Amino acid sequence: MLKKRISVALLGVILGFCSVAADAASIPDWLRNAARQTAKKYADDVNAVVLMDFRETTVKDNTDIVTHGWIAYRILRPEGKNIAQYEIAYSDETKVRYLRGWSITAQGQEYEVKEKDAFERSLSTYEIYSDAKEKILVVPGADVGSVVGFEYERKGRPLVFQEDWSFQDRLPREKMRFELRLPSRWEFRAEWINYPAQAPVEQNGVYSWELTDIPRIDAEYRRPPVEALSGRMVLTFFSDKIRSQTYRTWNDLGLWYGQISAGSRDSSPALQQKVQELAPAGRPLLERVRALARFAQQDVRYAAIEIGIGGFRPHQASETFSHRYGDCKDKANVLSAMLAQIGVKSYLMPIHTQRGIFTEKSPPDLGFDHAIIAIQLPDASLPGPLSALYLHPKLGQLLIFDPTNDLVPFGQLPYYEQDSYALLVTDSGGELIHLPVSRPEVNSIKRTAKLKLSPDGTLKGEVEEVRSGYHAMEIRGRLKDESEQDRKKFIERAILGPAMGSFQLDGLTLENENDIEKDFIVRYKFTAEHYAKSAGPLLLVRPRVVGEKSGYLDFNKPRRYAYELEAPKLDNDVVEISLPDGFKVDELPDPAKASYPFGEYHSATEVEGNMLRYKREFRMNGTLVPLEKAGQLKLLFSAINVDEKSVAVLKRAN
Amino acid sequence: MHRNQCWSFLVLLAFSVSCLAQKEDWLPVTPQELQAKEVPGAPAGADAVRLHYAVYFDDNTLSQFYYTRIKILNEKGKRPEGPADISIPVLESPLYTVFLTELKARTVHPDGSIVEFTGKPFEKTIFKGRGLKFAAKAFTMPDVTVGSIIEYKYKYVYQRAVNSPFIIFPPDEWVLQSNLFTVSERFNFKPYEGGVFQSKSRANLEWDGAHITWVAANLKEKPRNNGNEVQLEAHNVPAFTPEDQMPPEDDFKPTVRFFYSRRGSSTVVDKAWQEIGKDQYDRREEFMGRSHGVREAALEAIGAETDPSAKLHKLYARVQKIRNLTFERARTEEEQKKENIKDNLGVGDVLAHGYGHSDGITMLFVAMARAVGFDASIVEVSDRKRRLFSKELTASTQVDTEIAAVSVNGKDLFLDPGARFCPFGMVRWEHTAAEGLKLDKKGGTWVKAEPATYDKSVTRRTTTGSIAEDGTLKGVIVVEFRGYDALEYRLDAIDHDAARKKKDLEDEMKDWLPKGSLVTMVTAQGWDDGDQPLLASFSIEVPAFAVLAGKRLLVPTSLFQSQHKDAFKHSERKYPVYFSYPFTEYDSLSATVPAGFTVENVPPQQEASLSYAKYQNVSRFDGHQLVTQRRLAMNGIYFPLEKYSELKGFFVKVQVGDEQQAVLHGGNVNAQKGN
Repeated sequence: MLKKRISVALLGVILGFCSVAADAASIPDWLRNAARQTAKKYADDVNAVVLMDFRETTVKDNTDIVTHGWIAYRILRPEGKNIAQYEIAYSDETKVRYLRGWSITAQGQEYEVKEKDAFERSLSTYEIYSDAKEKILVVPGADVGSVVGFEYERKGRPLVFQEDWSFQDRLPREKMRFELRLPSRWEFRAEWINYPAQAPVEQNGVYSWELTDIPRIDAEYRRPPVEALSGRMVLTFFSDKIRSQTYRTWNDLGLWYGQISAGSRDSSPALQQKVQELAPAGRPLLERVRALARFAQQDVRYAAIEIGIGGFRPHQASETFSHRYGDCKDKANVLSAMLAQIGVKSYLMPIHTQRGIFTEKSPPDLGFDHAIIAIQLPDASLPGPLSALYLHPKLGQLLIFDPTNDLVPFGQLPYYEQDSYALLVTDSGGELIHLPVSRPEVNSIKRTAKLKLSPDGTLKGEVEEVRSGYHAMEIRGRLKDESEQDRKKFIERAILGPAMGSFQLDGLTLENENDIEKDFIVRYKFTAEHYAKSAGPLLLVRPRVVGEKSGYLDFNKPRRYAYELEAPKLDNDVVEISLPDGFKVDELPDPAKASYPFGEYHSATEVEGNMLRYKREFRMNGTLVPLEKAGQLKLLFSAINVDEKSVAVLKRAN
Repeated sequence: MHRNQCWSFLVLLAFSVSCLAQKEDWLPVTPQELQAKEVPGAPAGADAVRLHYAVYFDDNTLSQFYYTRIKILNEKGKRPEGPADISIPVLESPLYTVFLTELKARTVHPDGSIVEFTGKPFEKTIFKGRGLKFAAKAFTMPDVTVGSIIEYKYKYVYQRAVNSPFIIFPPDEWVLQSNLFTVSERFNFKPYEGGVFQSKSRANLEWDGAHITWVAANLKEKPRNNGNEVQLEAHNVPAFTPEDQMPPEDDFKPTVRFFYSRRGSSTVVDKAWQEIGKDQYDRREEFMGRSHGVREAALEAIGAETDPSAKLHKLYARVQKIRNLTFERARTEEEQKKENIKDNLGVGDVLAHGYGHSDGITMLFVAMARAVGFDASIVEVSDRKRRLFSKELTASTQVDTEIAAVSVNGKDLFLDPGARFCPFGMVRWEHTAAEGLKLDKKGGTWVKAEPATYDKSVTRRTTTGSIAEDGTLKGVIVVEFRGYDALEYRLDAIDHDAARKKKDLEDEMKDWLPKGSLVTMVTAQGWDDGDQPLLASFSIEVPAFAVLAGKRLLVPTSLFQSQHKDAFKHSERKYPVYFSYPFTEYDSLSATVPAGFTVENVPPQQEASLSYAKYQNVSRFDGHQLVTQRRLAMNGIYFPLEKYSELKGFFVKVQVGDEQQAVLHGGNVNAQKGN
């Protein structure tokens, strides 16, 4: 018997070079016509253009929805070659019935690939398991100038009867068409987001919309997410057959969500016992709520398993409690069940983790990707203002809480949920509410430095940073999984490194590292040789020392979108530098002052005895600087940049 | 000390028990393991440690058994995608199927109570297609608390397809280091003990028979033979943390790599390499023997040239014009057919077709050089970008790139005609200072192409401009890249259009300049000619380059941020410092200062010098211009730990020199203000 040996790695290489002998390509007319279109002129950083994107959606009377699509691209740059890889999502409820792709190269070669050539991939990211998958079809011949097209058909019976026509993204689009076929006695409603509403053309019961020359959403640092800027149409279908799976208003959507999650907040003896243990009667209500919230936040591990409607419906609270793990809605749900045990009412709230995708104008839409909870609290239980309080006209004070984020204290909201919109699901339905934004004072870095300068320019001393709000969450998240050594490296790389050329970290201590209810305090000691520069009899010292406040703006290009911030903030620095004997201050930097409606910055340097003292304050008031204020934002950042480089001149006394 | 001994004892106990019982049973959990709150040797604050890790390979049953026991030390150990979320990769192909069998998992609480994992792991498809499928069995451990021990074990069984003529062996490599500190590890490998391999027709794949060999690296204790099996135990293996500017990471993890050698081949390393070299030589000579038209082409290329070096240069230029498919995107068989790209069976085909891969082009060059009388050879070289060469690993996969060696005036001149844009006289950096086998009839001799010296790889940045009264510097920067720098830029941009090249160079310039600088590339030339420098010019504006302090203007004498400081920030280092190749930076700045300012102080000359590195920074005030000349030269690539302090000291001086400021005095200016 012939036996041969081959390594697995080599086998992989061999297989990689094997390909199925292809039949002659049979290019459909629609793609050939698209390829013949006269090429339009685009900016030189446009990777590819969508020549056509047609979609036909047919709703069957048996409630199946069949979507047939045709899409054609022209590759304009080498970076556009990846559009020859087409991805189509499916799940246990949605099947791909047809998938084919073609390409026509600039040299005239033609290629065709079929569904059997497709790869399959799970779409799970954070989940342990999800039934969401995708097929990926890769067409050969992907070179600059090639036209690539795909045709697909997908059939499914959705959980909710809504279709989303997203007609704008990172590529410009030339021709788009959406056709809708509905059975008799079915209705639809079309709502437009980030684009003026268009009336459909109706012919023989077929509704169609056409759009041409939709520009792309450009890449830009700190712009809102693409989904918050791009145009799309949301179609909602109505029929007696799908009454429980569709909605006209946010209230209806709240009712639907309330129904599917109803009954998932069951209790169990073990759960009840835990509630008694954590939140015994007799303690102040807020303390009891806080203890239960902390349990859901810290003791129920995040792990997501989502199959079909499991993407929306929480697992039974008793099950989540018993396993001590669950996803965002499970964690919110188990907290809700525990709160019920002490007589506190609470409400699940689907939300999107990216601000701006839902606004006060958003039509009812199930495009959320996260769930949190609103806890109804009697006014008397509240000690004072909390950042995450929402005053509801009927329900009174609601404390919004995210048990999934284990770095944000009770009473605060993660920055990405502030100033956002969420669906409050109540017993009587639902409503989209605007979540509160924290005050700048809640998110602060208070930096105090006590330093000593030597005649040779060495600066030595200690810096204390008291971080609160999102500043605390950010650094806790950054340092929590790091070893002591790596924490030091982080301080060296992120704080001291950008500020000085040569230094040694002499010590690092962290306070309240695991107590998220308290400010996170970082203290570090350092020695920086040659910090101050000798220039003849002069010693040049930059009093700001550490911390860069100005943001980044690409001054080469005009700004196209608003500038987004994590949250409002208020940062203060006080730097005291003890000056070396034999030197006196010859020049001090001018104070800085820049003030605009969205933010302000001011600093001052003074001398008191042999102490050089630098103080500054930086405040940003909101979460977004509108586009029309970009010029002022540039001025603000320029003023900060100048101030951060400013130098005091010391002179050797004779 | 007592605690360390205690942990060692536990490990020994566990092993002795495991030897008596089935190796694949759950190991007993000791009270010490249950109650431990920290593990000696583990880094402070570690969220979890691996108490035990075991790997048993058996190439006779084509099976691999894995056992992992982890202790959760704190809350962080429960984080999503942390140690308690388990994902076990699964691999499949048409020629074999990998069965993931005998999966068991459990959580053991500090009180000893056990929660078995009773669920079914979900199969998570990561990738599927073209006969290959990559999937993972995913599950989350039940009821994990701080102090819990989680453990799981499973076995891969590889089954070859019924009709497959191949025996498939899994990748046989032990990697002893992970991202968790590991208290004890045990490895066992049982090699194939079956019959002989019969065929000789395809030298790479079929042998008369095979025997197993292993190569270990970074191990305290070497594997030991137990009969035909190989075993290894390791204790207190630290977690691996990489560092900036270090040599390839895999070279620093403890590993054991097994490989089969042809039965009958020598077990003596040098002899085994000769046998590998002989095989390679036969195949290369066979390819170069099919040389129709090669001599004519060589004669045409050299024309009337008589100087040997100039002749070689012309031959080199001729083959570099051949379309190099290695530097193009991979094509499917169908694409090759439609684009009429045919297989090259010899160097004559490479010439006739006008295209080839790097190896074919290199062989064509050698064949042309021989055709006009040169003594030229193929050198099979290793790649130090991927992993440093290990001579003991006598596998041809270690030397899998070809360069040419031509004897000129009795010395070998190493050339890299198969690397696009590689200038004549140079070899791509990853194949320099790396072992290569210069092939001959007997097998070959070991050679090393030395990297080009620091003066052959130069980045020169020339800035001319003027400083405005508010401190803004406006001007032009011309950058010239030569040698390795130019080659790497060209190869990085090989598939980029003009817009992308412009953006990449502008981004690079922004990284060099102070934050907030405006940069526009104006011209670029030399992208396609490896023998010429790559030149680019930029219009720049640097806000607040100079800083006003009362009546003084403080002007930095260097414009560019140091590119090397990050590697020398830390006072301690674990791994050697590694530069890809020697280099030189030349910078010059000529900046006109605002009217009315006179010089108060210009920094003195800054210098630093080592036997392998030099730095100089000289500034002067010339009328209304501040003029600075800076030069940094590094003529070494690999610096062991004992050199770190010296090297750090050198770069601190560079940093200090680069941060000098000239002080001007007396202007009548407005202060720099935001608004």
